[in-house]
Amino acid sequence: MANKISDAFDQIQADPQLKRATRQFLAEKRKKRRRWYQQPALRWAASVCTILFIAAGIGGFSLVRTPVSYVSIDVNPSIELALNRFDRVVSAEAYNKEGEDILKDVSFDIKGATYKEAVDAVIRCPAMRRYLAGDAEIYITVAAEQEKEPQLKAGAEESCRRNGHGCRYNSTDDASAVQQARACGMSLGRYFAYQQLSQYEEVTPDDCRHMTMSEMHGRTQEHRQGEENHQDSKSDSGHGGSSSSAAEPGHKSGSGYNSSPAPATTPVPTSGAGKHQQKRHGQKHH
Amino acid sequence: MRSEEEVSHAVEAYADMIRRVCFYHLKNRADTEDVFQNVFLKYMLYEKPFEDAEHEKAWLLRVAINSCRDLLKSFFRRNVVSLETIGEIEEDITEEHREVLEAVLSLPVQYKNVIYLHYYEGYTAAEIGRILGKKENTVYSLLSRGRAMLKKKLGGDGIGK
Repeated sequence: MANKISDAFDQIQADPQLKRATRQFLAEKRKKRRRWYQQPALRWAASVCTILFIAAGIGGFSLVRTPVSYVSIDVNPSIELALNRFDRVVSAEAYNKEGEDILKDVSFDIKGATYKEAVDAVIRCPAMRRYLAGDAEIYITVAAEQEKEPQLKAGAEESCRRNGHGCRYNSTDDASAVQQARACGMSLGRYFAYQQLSQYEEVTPDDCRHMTMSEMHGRTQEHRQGEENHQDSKSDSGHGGSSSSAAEPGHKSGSGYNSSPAPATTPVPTSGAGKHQQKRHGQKHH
Repeated sequence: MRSEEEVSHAVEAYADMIRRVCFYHLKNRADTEDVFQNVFLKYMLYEKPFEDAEHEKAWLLRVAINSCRDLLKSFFRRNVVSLETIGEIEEDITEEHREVLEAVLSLPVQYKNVIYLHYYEGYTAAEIGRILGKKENTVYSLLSRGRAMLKKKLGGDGIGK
């Protein structure tokens, strides 16, 4: 029977017409299928791209919104600007009442602006005029990475000069400085000044919060001058060295309101005083 | 998607086989064409490579059988033998062959499959079980019962194993 069945079915064959029709059908289907977006490989690539795109978007978003550097502007009003990687203002905070008033006026202008524009806006704010009378100096303090710092410094100083005011500049590349300042409830600039002063005096953050910048600076200078005089007569650099290294958590270059980052352990008063003489614009009485 | 060359080769090699499967399932030419197109389209779009020619053949058989089944199910066709089926295809089939074919066609469909796969394609019960998704023992019973039915219809000439 096997043979019979075999033979019988052998008679059944696909005729050429059927084969041709099928081949034609398939050829058409093949052309249609070339719709690129149906290919599984491309679909997979598309999903991967979408995911990457979203990830980049999130990354970019956080990149733009993450504060990387801080610029503190203190005359009497204390304002701290947080800058993103591209030196644009992410946020601005005021650390005293005067600062708040200023910020109220300018906050619209500075959000998202470059830091130069922001500094300009703050300085030019009408409410600031009161504090900038005479030869008042603007204290600019910057916390930023070492690469960024010079550029920020140049920009900030230029802003001050452009608006016809003197500028006292200070900087650090220590990120924790900002946290410490916040912990004391002060802006970076004021915190620096407090640090300076506390080397010589017993002051609490509270005291410093209410002093004007020039007051703090003035007192610090007095002490420094005093020490210099004392030192000249003694000519003992070791003495100077030890006093400068006292109580300076997180300070890299803030050894005096001068522009070159000096390491904390060098005899500060002597070198600082020299440079200080060159930079002084304001009137300080000894 | 498989290349045009590959597909053309497959059509050449397996068209007769598919035709036979369609023959004992379906009743008319149109359905056969449908199944043909369906089977080879699936073949064209099948991405994974076949282990060997046997694998490829078994795959095609399975697709063809399932395709026929689906077609029949979808139209509520009753399994009625139609003499037109043979008449439609070949005019020059001898009387003897015609008789055998009709006998096979008259079997219920599950028997037709195993009879064809065993007696024509030469698969073992185990292989048939794999193709049809049935247990080997089931295939054995189907084969023996199918054979018995055929014997009855064909008058029992020289039935082999």
